[in-house]
Amino acid sequence: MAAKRQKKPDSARTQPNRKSSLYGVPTWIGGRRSRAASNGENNGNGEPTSGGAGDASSGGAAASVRNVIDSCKKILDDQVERGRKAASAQGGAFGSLSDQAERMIRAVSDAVIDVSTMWIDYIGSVTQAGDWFPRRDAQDGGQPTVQISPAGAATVDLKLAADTELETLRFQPLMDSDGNVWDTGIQAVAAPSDDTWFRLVVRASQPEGRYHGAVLDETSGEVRGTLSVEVKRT
Amino acid sequence: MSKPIEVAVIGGGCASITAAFELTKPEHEGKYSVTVYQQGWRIGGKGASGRGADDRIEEHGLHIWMGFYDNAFRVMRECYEELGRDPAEHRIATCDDAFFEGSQVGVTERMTDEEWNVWTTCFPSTKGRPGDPLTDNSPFSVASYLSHAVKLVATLLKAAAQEPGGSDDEKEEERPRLRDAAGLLGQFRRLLGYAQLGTLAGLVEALQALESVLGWLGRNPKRGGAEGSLLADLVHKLSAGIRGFAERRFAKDAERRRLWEVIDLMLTIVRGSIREGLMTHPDGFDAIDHYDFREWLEKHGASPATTDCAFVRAVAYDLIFAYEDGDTDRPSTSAAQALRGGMRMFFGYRGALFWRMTSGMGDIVFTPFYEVLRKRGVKFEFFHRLENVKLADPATLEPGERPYVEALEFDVQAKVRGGAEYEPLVDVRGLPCWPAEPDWKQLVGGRRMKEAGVDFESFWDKEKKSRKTLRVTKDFDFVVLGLGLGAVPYVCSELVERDARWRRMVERVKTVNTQAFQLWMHPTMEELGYTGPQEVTVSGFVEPFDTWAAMPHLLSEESWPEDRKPRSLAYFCNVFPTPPGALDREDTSYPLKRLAEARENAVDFLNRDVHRLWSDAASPKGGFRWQVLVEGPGGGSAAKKRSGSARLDSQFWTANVNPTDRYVLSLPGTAKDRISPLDNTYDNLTVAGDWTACGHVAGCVEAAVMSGRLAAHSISQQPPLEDIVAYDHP
Repeated sequence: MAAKRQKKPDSARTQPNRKSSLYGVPTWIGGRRSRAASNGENNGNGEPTSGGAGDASSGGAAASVRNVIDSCKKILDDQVERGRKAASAQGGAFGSLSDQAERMIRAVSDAVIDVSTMWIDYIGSVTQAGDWFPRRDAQDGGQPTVQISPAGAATVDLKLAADTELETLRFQPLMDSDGNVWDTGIQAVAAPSDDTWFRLVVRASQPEGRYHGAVLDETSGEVRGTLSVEVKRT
Repeated sequence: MSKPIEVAVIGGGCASITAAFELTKPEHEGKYSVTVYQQGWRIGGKGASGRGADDRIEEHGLHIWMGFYDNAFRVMRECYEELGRDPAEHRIATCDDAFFEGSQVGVTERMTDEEWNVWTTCFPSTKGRPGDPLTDNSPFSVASYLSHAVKLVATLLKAAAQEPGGSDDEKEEERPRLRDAAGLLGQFRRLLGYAQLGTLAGLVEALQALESVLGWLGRNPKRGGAEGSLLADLVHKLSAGIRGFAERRFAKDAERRRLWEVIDLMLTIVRGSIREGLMTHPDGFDAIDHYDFREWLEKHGASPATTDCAFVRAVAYDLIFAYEDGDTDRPSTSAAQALRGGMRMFFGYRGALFWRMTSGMGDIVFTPFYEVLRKRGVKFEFFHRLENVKLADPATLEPGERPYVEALEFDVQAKVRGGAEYEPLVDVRGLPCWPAEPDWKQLVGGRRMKEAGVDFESFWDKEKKSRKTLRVTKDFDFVVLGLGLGAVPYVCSELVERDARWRRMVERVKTVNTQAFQLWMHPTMEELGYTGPQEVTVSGFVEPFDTWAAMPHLLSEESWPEDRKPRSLAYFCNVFPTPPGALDREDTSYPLKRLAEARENAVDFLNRDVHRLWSDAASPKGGFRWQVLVEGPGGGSAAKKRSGSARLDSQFWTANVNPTDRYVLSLPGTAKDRISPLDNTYDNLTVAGDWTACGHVAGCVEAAVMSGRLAAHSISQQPPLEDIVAYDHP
C-alpha cells in the first residue's frame, strides 16, 4: 500500500501585513500589548478599543492638530519677526549679525526642529488608516448613546478592560464630524467591582452627534484606542 | 513514535540552513527529518567562503552584517549557544567572538574628473544587540522612522554648528576660544554660517510640514478659513527664497554641501512619506514600490544635487548592486525597499550599524550551523546537483487536490571513497573551516578530477557519477527549494511553464552577476596613502569596483609565514555585466572568459583608479605598484619572475556568474511578483531565499534568514509569524 502523501498545513496568510498599527506599534509585538477593549455593561463597545482596527475615527485629532498649527504659527511668527528685527538692526546682512542674533538663529533652529519632531510624533500617534485625519462617521450602532435634555447634564459610565488602568490613560477631546468639540472633562468614578469605570459628563448644551477621540497612554503617548459616543436629545 | 516527516532542503545558503535549523529544533521532538542536498563540497550559497593557500580566506564577495539583522543574529546566537564551544579551547566560541562592531562607513564623492573625496563617519553605538527581544519602543513603524529622521536632521545641524573634524575633546577646548576676543570673529562667522544652515533647513522643513497640514485643511474646508490662509502665505513667502539661497551658498563648501544633501534627503523622505500617506497605508512602503528611489525623491522635491549625491548612490544603489543587468549606467531600485532598508539600516540598528565577522563567513556562520545540524541528525548530501523539480501530472490529481512535487532529480557529481560520508571541514589552528576546494582525497577519482580542473560549483560542470531521483512519500514528504533565484528557470522548468506566477517571477524579479577581488599587501594602509579610519567600508566609488572594505582584522585568522606576512587586506566588489537571456550550458568556456574579464577589470581599476583612495599606491610612472602585493606560497622563484599586473595572479578574484551566484535586485514594481514561502499553491513545496516575498525585499542575509524561518513555518507552523521580526514591517 502506498504511503499517504503529507500535505503542508494551509498558511493563514501568505503576505506580510504592511499596515502599521495605527499608532506606531509594530504588529509583531502587538501580541504583548494589553488590550483595552471590553464589553461594557450598558455601553456596547464604546469603551476604548484596541488600536489598529481602523474602524474608528480620530476626531479629537483635528482639534489637537489645530493646536499644533497654532503653536507652529506662533513660534514661526515670533521667530521670524525677531529675525526680521535682528537682521534689520544689522543692516540685513547675515554676515554681520550680532551674537544675540546668532543665538536667535540657533533658537529658531531648535524651536523649529522641536516643533517638527513633536508634529511628526503627534501625527504618528493620532492618524488613522486611509487618509490624514479622516473624519469618518462611526459605524451605525455599537457606540454608547447618551440621552440629554435641556434640563441639565447627563452622564454615561463606561467600563475599561480589566487589564487597563485608568490612570495610565489620557483622553483626547472628543469631536464630531462637524467639528463640535466635547470640552467636558472625563471623570473616573469609584469602581463598583474589580473593573475600573470612568464617567463622561455631557452638558445640556452639547450638540447632537457622534463624538470620537483618541485615548492615549499617559507615559508613552501612544494611542491605546478610541472612544466613541453618540449624543441624542430627548 | 511515528515515522518522521522527511524534508528535502535544496541548497545550503542562509535561507535553506535556517529552515533546517528551525525544523529540527528540539521543540519539534524529531517530527521532521531533514536532509540538505548541496551541489559541490560546501554549504553557504552566496555566503560560502573557503580557506586557500596560507589559510587565506576567500570569499564570494564582501559580507558585512547589518545591525538590524534581528532574525539572522537571533538564529546565529541560538546556534552558537547550542554549539557550546568551550571559550578556553576555541578562539571563536561564542557569537560575541564571531562578530564585532564595525561602524566606520564612508562614501566617495567625485569632486572633479581627477579628484575623489572619501567622506567617512562612525555611527554611534546604540543600546542592545541585534537579535535581542524587541521592546515596545523599537522604532519599527513609519511614523517612528520619520520621527527619527527629523531627529537625525537635528543631530546633523548640531554637528554642523561645530568645527568640521573636531573631536569631542577639541570641542570642549573650543569653548574658551569663543570667549577669546582674538579668535571670536572667525569662529563666530563659521558658526554663523552653520547656524544659517540649521535655520534654513529647519524652517524649510517645518514650513513644508505645515504645508502638508494645510493640504489637509484644504480637503476639510471647515478647518480652513483665515488661519489656513495666513499659514499658507507664510509658507510660500518664506520657502520661496530660502532653498535656492541655501543651495547656492552651500555649493561652495563641500562639507556643508554634504550635510545639506543628507538633510535634504531626510527632509524629502519625511515630506514624501507624509504626502503619500505611508504612515497608515495598508501596503506600508510597498505603496511606492513602483517608483525608482531617485525618481520618488525628485517627485517630492529633493534637489538634483541630493538625488545624485554620493550618499544616495552609495547606500541605495552600490551597496545592493542595484544596477539592472549589471549595467552601471542603469541604476534602479524600488523606492519602497530603499526606504524600508534605509530606515531599518539607519534607525533600526542595535549595537552598531555594521557588524563584521572575525573570520570568513563560512567559518563564522556555516561551520557552526553545520556542526549543530549534524548533531541534531540532519543529513548532508554533498555533490548533489539538482537537475529537475518534477511536478505530479495534473491528470493524476484527485478533484480538489493541489499540485505537488512528485520527484527531485539530481546528478551525483562525485562519490566518496568506501561509500563513507563526506567530511567537508578542515582544521585551521583549532577552528573548523571550509576549504576553498574539495578534499579530493576523499573522492573516488579525486586526483583525476583535480587535474582536470573540475569545478563542482560551476553551472557548466558536467561531472556525473550517477543519477538520483527522490520520490515523494518514499524519499521525501516536503521540499524546501532554497536555491538562488537565478537557478530556478533551469531546474524548475515545469513550474515556470505551468504556473504563470512563477513565470512572471522569473521574468520580472531580476538577478545580476557580481565580481570581487581581494588584495593581500605588504604596506599598511597608511603606507599606501590612506589616512582614514581603519576597518572602514567605503561605497560609491568609481566603477567597475564601487565598494571597498579594509579587512585587516582577518589577517590574524590566516596562517602567513613571517617573511610573507601581509600588513593590509582589502576587499573590492561590484556588479558584473549580466547579459539577458538564458545561459548556454554547453559553452564551457564562458565562466573562464568571465573570470578573465573580472581580472582585467581589477587590473584596470588598480592601475587607473585606486590611487584616488590610496594616494601612494601608484608608481611614479603611473599605474599601480604591483610589488605591494604579497605572493602566494607557490610563488617562490616564480614570484621573482612575476612582475607588473601578473602579480595579481597571486591574489584572489571571482566572477560570480553561476545562476545560483546571482544577486537578486529589488527593481521598481516587482515586489508583488515574488512568491512567498507561505504560498499554499503546492502542498508539499515551499521556497526559501532572499528572492522570495519574505517581508524584506532585498538581497541580504536578513531577508534570506527571514525566508528560511517562513519556510519552516509553512511546514511546521513554527516559528510563529509574530516571532519573525519585521515580517509585518510596513
